[in-house]
Amino acid sequence: MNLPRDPSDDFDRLMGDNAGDLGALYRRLPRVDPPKRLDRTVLGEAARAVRGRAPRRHGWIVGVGSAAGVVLAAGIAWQIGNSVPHQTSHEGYRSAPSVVPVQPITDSPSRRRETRKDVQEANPNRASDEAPATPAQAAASPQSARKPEPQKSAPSAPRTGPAAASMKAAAPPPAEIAPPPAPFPADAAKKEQDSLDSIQTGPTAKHASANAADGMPLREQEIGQSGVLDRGKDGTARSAGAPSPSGSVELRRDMQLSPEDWLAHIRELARQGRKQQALESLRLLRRMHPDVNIPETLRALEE
Amino acid sequence: MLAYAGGDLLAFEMLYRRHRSTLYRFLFRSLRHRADADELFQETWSRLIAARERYRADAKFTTWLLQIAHNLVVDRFRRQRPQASPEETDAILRTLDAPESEQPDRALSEFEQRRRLQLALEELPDDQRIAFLLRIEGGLGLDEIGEITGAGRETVKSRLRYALARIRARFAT
Repeated sequence: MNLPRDPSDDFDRLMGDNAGDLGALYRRLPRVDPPKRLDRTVLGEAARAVRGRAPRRHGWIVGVGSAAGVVLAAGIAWQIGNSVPHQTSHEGYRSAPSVVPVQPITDSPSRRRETRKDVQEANPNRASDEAPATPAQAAASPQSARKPEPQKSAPSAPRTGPAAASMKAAAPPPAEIAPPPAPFPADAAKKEQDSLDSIQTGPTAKHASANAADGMPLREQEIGQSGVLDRGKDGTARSAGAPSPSGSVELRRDMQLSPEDWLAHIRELARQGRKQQALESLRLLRRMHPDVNIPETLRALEE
Repeated sequence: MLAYAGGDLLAFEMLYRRHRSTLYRFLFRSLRHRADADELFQETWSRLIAARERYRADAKFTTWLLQIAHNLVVDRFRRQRPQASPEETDAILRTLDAPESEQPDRALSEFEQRRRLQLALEELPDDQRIAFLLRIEGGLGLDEIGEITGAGRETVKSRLRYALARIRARFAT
């Protein structure tokens, strides 16, 4: 059997049913099929994709679970909030200098009772539960007097009831009792400030503040740290290696576009010289619309 | 496909069984390496699964599947080696076409014909081979091939004609 020689005839046969003689010959080529492991892989992936959808149908379970979690967290927070004043007062009690009545072994029980009475008179707060007993005692430990911060004790203020009333009556205002706290040593204060700065602004700002302390102008510091700082278009300094925060937002916006508009947008990005962004957008488009025909000009972006 | 997008796994299995061989042969004959064909076969289905909810019933499933596969094949070609320019293709065709008319008819054995067709397919430029395979393996028409490859109808026609000429030349030698 020979193939037909006339080109137009040949083409018509190719475009006809079963692609003519050439089609018949092609179908007699050795059969190649995908290996079984690929079948398993693909079918497994398809099953996983469908199973991944299943929980979405029962979204109400997630909702109820989340709500229960929130209620539980709120309950715990409320409980903790209630126990904070007690804890604070216990801390005050623990930190207050305690007076332990020393009784001579030879004392009689009646004498012991008298001694206890004396002690209670000398330290009335002990009996009513907390706070430094006397100004002298409070002054003896200024740190313990400083411990209950005004913010922490604030929630206990609106409390009513006999316990609160007794607390108010028993505990003298710390400002009156406690002497002015001893000034921090200069080194400790600086360290504390540094650690606060590092928490609030991160290492870069810490460097900057350290340099500022050295008397170096800010601009020079930034130039000196060119490996760390990078100045954006708007003039704000940012970390050089960090991804642009607007990038993912823009990509998400791109996802809303139709494939044609999206391609046009990528072309526009490439034209503006934003090649990296165009490339990322193109990759996302290919993921979302694998069937879209990518023009050669845009394919070249990936090289 | 719509049933699978709605969560019917059985529908996907039917679809897969029906199209797996066509897709695999298209990839294998396009790429000519089994390892590459395996890799892109899996990748094609992965992408199809990931994009299942964006499938529109107005497109034929085979066209959609082969479109995804074609995009992956073209990417692979781009990474592997440079494409022959149209001028180069024409030059080769001229040299092939000339002696063809002078060749005497020869009856070839069945085995020899199959071998020559295989060789001819392997030697075709990528554009022509893909157009030929989409026609002969996928059973697609000129418009559908054009849609997949991003080429016009006339360009597809021309690629198919060139492919046929090359195959004929291979049979004639």
